[in-house]
Amino acid sequence: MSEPNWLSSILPLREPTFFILLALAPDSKKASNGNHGYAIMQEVEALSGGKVRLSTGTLYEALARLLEQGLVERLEDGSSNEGDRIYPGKPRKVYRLSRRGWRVLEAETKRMEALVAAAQLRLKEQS
Amino acid sequence: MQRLLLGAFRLLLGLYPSVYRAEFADEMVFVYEQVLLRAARRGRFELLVESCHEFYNLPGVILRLHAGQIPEAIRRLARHGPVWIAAWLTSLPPTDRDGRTSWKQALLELLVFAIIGGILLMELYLRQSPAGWENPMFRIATYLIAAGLLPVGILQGMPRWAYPVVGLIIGYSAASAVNSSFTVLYIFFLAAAIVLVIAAARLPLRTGAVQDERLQRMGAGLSAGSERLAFGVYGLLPHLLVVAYDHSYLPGQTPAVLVSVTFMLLGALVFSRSHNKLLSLGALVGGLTFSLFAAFTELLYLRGGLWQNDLVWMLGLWLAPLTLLLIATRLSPHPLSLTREEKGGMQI
Repeated sequence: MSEPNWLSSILPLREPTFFILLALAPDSKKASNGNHGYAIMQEVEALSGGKVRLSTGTLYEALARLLEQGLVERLEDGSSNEGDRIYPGKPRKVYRLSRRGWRVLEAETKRMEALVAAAQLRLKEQS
Repeated sequence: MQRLLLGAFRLLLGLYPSVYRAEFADEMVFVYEQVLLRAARRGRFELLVESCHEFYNLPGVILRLHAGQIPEAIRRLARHGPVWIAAWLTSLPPTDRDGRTSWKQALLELLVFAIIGGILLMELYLRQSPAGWENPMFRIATYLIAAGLLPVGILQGMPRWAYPVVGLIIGYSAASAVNSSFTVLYIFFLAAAIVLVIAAARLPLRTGAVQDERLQRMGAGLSAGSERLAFGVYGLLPHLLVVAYDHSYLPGQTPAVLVSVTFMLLGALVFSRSHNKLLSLGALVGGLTFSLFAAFTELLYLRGGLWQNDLVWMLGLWLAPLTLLLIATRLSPHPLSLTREEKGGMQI
């Protein structure tokens, strides 16, 4: 089945983008649904085994683009930063994968699976 | 160290596109502080590495974000550009009658001189064409100014920037009417000017007998007195320079054209930005004198000396507008001129 147009215009994803979407994918171990900016950075680093380290600028550039593409949703966290000395009392924002983002992540994973399968097939033939 | 880095980060955030900054800046500072705290716990080296990582990436991110805004800006400009320009031109702030104007007004006040000056430089230096009435560029530019700026100026109630526009058109029409078929245009503008002057003299602004606000503004604009009239006379200068360099016969071979245009623009700029009445009128006299005398030096250079006819012609070209300018400065403000309170919301 061919991909819809909007999907093929987004794929393939760049590595940091892929890890950001993956970091936002719901996790059964986590109680809350969605991540703060700093948590996304840490999660990306952990998921990539320390290979992808996002700077703040790169992270928010990617998040802005993903929001615009509708792959990510931005919500206000219920808790506020009481006691935060920079922005006391301001509600924090959390980011969550949208339904569209979920489809992109699935499609990208399948695309990569197909790549890996093709490569493995060729490597097996060689050996 | 952390505070310093955070301060630098905040400073760099100022370079982000404003929409993006409004949306994410707070969050980014918060996240970056967390990053710094974690790095500081791991030691100074880690803090340094983290800072380098952040600041190495930031300029690229900023450039990409700005570049990403360009297509949208172009789309918006294409969609709303003419409306913006019209809105900009018709929403000018009130001009102080004898005081310094806003930069927006100053830009419009310099426009006439910049357009004709720019064409003069282009024609004489780049295209090596002779200046003069045969050159279609000056004619086209004058027509475009007449068709584009004059109606806006009239609708605005003749603000100060509209005066050199009128001066330019009258100067061009008068000079070209002598040996061309533009007499009709000249008569038209002359008649229009007479009507406006009569309207200015007749409009009883204080009594409020004339209800139409646009007519009131027009009357107020025309009753502004000596300073505006002097600026209107200065509007003759671009075409006087065209005549002067036409008389030099050959395209600009010396820096004289550049000097002339510079003095012309400088005179207009000082006039429009000056608080002082004497200084602003001095700027007009200086601009007129120095720009014309630079043209005479070119003539002097090309002829290798002055002939009697040249001398008479040169002095005539300088003295005629200078006399007009001095007469204009001697005119007292119109008795109907409004006080600041009376002007109220009037855009003049």
